[in-house]
Amino acid sequence: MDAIDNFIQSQEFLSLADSYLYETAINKVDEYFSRLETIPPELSRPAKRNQVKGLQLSSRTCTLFGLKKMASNQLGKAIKRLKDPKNDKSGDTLFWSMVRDLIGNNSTDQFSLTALAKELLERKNNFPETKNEQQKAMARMIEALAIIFFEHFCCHYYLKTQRLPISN
Amino acid sequence: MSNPSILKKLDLYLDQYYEKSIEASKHLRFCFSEKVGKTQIRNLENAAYTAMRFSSIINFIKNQMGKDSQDKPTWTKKLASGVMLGDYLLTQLDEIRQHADTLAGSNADNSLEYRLYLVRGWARQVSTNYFYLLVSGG
Repeated sequence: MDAIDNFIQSQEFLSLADSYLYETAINKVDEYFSRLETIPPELSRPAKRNQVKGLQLSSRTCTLFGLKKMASNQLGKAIKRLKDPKNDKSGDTLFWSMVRDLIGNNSTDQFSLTALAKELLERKNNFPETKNEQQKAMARMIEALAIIFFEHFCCHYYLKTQRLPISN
Repeated sequence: MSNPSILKKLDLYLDQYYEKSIEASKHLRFCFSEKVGKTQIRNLENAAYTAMRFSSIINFIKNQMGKDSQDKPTWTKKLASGVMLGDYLLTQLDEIRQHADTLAGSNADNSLEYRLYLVRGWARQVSTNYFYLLVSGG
């Protein structure tokens, strides 16, 4: 695990955080606000800032499992809040399904922190041999990526909501 | 920063940027009351000095903009040009970032180092002049 910790503190990792992770986080927030324009106006209110703050805090303190669980729970609650069965999307459901996918999705062509962590570990030849060690290494890498990614993501989100005609 | 010729280039750029930093400090003076401004500008300076990543300073400004109330805007207060204070500062930071990246070429490690050097210099110029404006009644 030392090799992973060293990598997380390296200039290479900081550069990745400053460029690729930053740009991806901003694009994801911008995409979200664009998608809101495609759903009925009465459902298109963006996720509230206190929910986003919760996400930011959780990304700093939670384990990978905790973060995934939080996103799934919030998505479940957002789906329950939908009253009209014809409309299966709202600002909240889009937000939390996006967050869940950002942490880890099964699609190989979509960005996710899980896919990026795996790629980094393989590229650095840091992938341990035993399954248990692999899981620990993946969790450590994703947690390090998540803290920075969601800092970019949430700060840009706050800025975007501030620019809305009526901020929430 | 081990390369003296690069250091000279970075310092030269900061000197050339000085007038823009002064403009930024005047805008900060315009948008903040004295009491709030002192804390906020010190926080901005601290963010620049303690940052391990350039994006931390950008995120600091975005975060502060996001916290602003619409009744008493500060970071989101509109300047005479119609641009919000925070957006004005973010534009300056983007110029600084671009210059650092140009100097670094394809070397990502250098880019990060130059970005941080420049942003700390910029923050020093902005905050120093801000506090000078406070005492000189500017």
